[in-house]
Amino acid sequence: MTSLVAPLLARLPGGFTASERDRIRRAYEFAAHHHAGQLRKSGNPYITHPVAVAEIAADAGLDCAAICAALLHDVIAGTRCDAGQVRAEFGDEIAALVQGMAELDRRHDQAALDAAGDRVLALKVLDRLHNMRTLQPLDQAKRQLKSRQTLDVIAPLAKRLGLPAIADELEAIARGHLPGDTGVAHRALALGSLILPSAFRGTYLCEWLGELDVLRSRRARAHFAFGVLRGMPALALALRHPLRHPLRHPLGHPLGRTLADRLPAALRWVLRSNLRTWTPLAALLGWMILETARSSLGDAVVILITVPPVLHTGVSCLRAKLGLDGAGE
Amino acid sequence: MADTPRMTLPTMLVLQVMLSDPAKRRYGLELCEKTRQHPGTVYPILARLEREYGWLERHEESPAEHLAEGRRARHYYVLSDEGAVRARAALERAERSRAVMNLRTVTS
Repeated sequence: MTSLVAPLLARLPGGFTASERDRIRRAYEFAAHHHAGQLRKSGNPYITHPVAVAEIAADAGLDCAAICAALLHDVIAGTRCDAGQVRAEFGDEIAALVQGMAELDRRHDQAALDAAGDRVLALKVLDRLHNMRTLQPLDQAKRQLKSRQTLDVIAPLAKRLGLPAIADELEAIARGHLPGDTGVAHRALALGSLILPSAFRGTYLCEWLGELDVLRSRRARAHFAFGVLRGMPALALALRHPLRHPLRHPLGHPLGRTLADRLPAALRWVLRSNLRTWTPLAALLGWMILETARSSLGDAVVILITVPPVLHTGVSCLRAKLGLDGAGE
Repeated sequence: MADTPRMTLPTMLVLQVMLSDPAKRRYGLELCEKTRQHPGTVYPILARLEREYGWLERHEESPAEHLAEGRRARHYYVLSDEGAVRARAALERAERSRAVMNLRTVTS
């Protein structure tokens, strides 16, 4: 089994002293001893995993203690070995790192992440990277679960720790195992949601993506997206409606309301005078007639005869509706 | 009638499901399946009931819940205290007037 540690030692950068190399070899032997007989889901000996994580750690430029901790990271959680033995053999620094990783395996919540130090988190990221690279033997539900966690928690963590290349690889692998984020249903919904008020677009799109994740068949997803799209105008209308409970909904748009109030006032002001009403309309009509006359003189004459009376009727109607009867006469 | 939504059949169905267990939070897809209505019908109703009438409250699921199941966050709707009372009253009224209308069509 020493064949596994030789490539790892060969991979170490030049800065490692002989005693550090020796410690890494001892960590490998300790881990290989405790994981003896264990297999991964793929059927490979379990020890291949810690060695691969240690190699990734060496490539990422981590120090000797971190590489040893990478080799030992599953002995507490996965074998009969306890933290005391690791401490007696490798000292406090390495034991603390290994214990920190075991703790993260036990508890996945945010509090555990916040409590862990950056070196433990970096090791966790590298551990996940190798697990993601070798995800294939797991069943579909497990793969999707791990991929979702990777996208939501581990990849952002890698970015924060200054490991952007690893974050990119994690994201790329995770997306490959998840049902189409960028599928047709998602794109259609993203496009359709453009008619929603911008403050709500994001949260509703998130809501629908959450629903799409549960729908397993492509057909069901398409059906759902089509249904949502059909109701998009109604939803846009419902969301644009002025709020009756402004205190409960800090997202409301005070601006939308004042605009809606101001529009009739502006219209009233224009319609009150013949000059303000007819100048823009005459300009528009003139342009229409000139454009039409270029291709057909006859059509231009027809427009000149029919459109002004229609406009006049329209303006009279609006004035009557707004109670401006008599204005401009 | 200004503080009660129009009691269309889909609106009644949504409220019936919500009132069948008033404290239970439900997500949009679940309501579509339970009421057998299109999402295009259900989401605008939910948006109205939430924003315009304040009968529903909308919450995003916490990461611990959806990460454990390996999917993205759901948004849940739950009846507000006031909403539960008003919705029950409005639903009863609507059901009564529907019953009266049925009676009329039968007798005429």
